[in-house]
Amino acid sequence: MININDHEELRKLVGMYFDQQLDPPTQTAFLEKVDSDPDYQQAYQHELMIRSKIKKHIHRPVDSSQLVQAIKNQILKP
Amino acid sequence: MHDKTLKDKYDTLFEEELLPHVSALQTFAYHLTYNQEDADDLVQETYLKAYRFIDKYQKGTNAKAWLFKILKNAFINEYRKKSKQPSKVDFEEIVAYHDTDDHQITGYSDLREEIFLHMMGDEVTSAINSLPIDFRTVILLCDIEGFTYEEIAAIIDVPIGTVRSRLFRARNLLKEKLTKYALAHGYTDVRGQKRKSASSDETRHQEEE
Repeated sequence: MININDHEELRKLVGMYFDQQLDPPTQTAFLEKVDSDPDYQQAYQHELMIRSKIKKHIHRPVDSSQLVQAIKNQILKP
Repeated sequence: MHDKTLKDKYDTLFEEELLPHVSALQTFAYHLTYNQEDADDLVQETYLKAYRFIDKYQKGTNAKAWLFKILKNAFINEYRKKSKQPSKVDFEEIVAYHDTDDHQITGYSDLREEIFLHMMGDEVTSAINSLPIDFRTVILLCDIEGFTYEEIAAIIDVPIGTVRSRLFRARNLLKEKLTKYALAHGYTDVRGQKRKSASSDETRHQEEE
């Protein structure tokens, strides 16, 4: 059962959810609160958005196909 | 005949379960080595090692975590010695080795969306790359690759409490760096200004009375 009185605790709970640190019943209760409580919804959406932006702005290889082929050539020789 | 069947089995396992993670490993390797060529060499070496020990891998288990662990070990044991990049040791890196009781969980709730407005592409990568290696590693494994604390602990061989503590410090440092970058590029943090302005209006009003 989640009983949040304090904004700081809500932030911590949101962080734990995104870090997959909540046990299944707490996670279910948390998601129900996100659906019904605007404070929870706002905190959830904000965290989701920031984490997505960080992921989006990270350097990633444009194309891995050449490397995949090089590995295959080196390892999967007949 | 028996060897050929075994090789076919391992080759299939390799293609189906290990090769799909090349791109994720490249991203991780890039942020460890700072350049794509070295990153690709490190990934290739990781796959060579994985294939050499493929008989130890159990089909259907966590291939991604296994590969990340091999890559991390390869980086520490071999690549880092030959790397042209000098290893960065600073205060935070020293602190990271003395992880103690920072068992707090922190996310990004205090970071503003607006700070990303002026970012053109690689600012997040630069900010992550400027973190000490232990902090950089946990950010990449948790926030970019989505590993759990337990998986990260297994990949980097530290207790879960250390993962939590490093992540806490790493995120605080990353937020600081991203905010500094945004402020230098025209972002203004207006939080608290309304309150300040309302309070000064009130003071002015009282003085007038």
